[in-house]
Amino acid sequence: MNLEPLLLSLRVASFAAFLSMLIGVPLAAYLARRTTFLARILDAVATLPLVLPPTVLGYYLLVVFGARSPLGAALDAIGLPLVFTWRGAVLAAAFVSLPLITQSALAALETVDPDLEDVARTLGHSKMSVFFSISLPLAWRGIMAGLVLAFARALGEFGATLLVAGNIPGRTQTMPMAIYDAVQSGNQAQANLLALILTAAAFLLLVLIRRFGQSVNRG
Amino acid sequence: MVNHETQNCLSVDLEVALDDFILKVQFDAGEERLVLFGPSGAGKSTLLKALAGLFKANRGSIRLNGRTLFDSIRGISLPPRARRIGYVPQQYALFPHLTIAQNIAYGIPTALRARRGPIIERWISLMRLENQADRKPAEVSGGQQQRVALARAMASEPELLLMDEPFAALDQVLRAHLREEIRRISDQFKIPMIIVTHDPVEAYSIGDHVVILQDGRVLQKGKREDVFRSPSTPGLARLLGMSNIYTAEILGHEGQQVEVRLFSQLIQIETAYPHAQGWVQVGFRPEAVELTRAAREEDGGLMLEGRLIELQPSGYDHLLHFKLEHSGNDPVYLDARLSHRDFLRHQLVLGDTCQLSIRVADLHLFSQSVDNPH
Repeated sequence: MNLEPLLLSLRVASFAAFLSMLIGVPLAAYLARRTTFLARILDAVATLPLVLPPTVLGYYLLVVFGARSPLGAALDAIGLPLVFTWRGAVLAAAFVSLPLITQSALAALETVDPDLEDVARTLGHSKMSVFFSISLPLAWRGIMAGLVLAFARALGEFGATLLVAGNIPGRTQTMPMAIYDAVQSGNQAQANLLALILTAAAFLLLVLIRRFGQSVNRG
Repeated sequence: MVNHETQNCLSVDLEVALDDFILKVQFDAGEERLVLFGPSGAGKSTLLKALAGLFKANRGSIRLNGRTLFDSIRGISLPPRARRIGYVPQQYALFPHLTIAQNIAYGIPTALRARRGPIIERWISLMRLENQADRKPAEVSGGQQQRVALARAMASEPELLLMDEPFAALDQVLRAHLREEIRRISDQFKIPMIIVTHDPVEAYSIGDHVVILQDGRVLQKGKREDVFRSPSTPGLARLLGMSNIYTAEILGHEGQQVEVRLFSQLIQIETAYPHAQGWVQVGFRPEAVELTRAAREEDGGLMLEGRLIELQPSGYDHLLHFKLEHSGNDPVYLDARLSHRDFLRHQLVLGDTCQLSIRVADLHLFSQSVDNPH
């Protein structure tokens, strides 16, 4: 069988989960225990991909990063085009999974006893230092659970990815695309196999999330 | 206001807006243990947080040893890390993912990093935490957790130590130990401390000075002996455990001496306030009551007779409720507190009639006059 879609999917989902963590965790750190107007707006924007149809999100990404936008032209110029490349698939999947990691990290950071952070600040540490030495170590299980969730969501991403990266076999054809193609072309054996692999992966990830979910807030 | 610029001291004048009231306090503190006493919801914990820079004060200033930590007019508000104020919250807030030694090390100033090891060693031994250094906070006892929190705050070399209800989670024996610990640190390091409590007994036993806070206002402040013996109002007196308060008639006064009629007895009480004719309230603490005729015979104190109607043992002492035998129609009650030893000596049972006496020095005359009760 052709392993290329599987390897590509794993690569895209890994990069996407990592990218969404890079954006989501600092965002959650900012949002934690903040009720300002700006915080609410940011929270809403970061949660939007959860309710927005993926095709709509994909379309927006196309508008912003496409060859006809200044940003897209600039990326083209430095030889890193996004549209119709695997990098585009990463971007699409990262945006779709951003709410999952942000909300998980936010929930985990908010379970950290505020007294701990308060005391740490009286002990000569800056807010940044307190975040890395106290908040993050105590919330890491929740954040890891969010990361796995984001990875799982990125692995299955279809709509936004199709619009941004297309469905080019060997270049941007991820597992969900390959299943779609297999069904379209009547290759049921291939569809069965790929579906089974994704189901097994999903099951494994779920076990992983459960493990991280246990005894949150313990070192 | 007195200029304390060169002295080891704290000067606070703050206004903090809370949900339902405005906290408004002004006090100074020196090299001493100051107790912030008041009922729950008086704003004590918020005041501590405002001092530490963890809660935003709206107006006023905080000065510590000549440094301005907060000044709303000059727009100064140092972050908590720059205030050099140690803070021990009610639940200790030990870092659960760090060992005892790492907890203590967390606040050691960067300039002292080279001597980190010896500093940790020193606090481990000062706080009797040997063999606990590599354990996690959850693995040590409540009393040890409290001592770790104290060591962690002190290792950061603060110029002021704040403790929020340090005794609340401890049993009687551990409370006594902790009191010792706090006194020892206070004497050895000459560091000013502010200790929050809602328990009058703790307030008296640990504080040199007392600031009494209620509904965001300072009701009274001063040396603990003065505050506890001469509370300014009957309401405050009850808060401090002075549960025996009665109305007396003023018969006349001569200099600092006022003559009153209380339970048909004529008594001369010393007072700082001038009293007009009329009615005043006289109070005394339950600990001042003796179960003998001693007071009357020695110094002209109050002599009463009462029937024991209720007994409240509390481990170290006993609170006794008496119904007084007197000529009036309404029942009048009196509280007495006896040490366990005295209690055993008197072999009291419910229904006993006792001679109760209170020395004149223990009688406190409230400054405000009251209406004729009859």
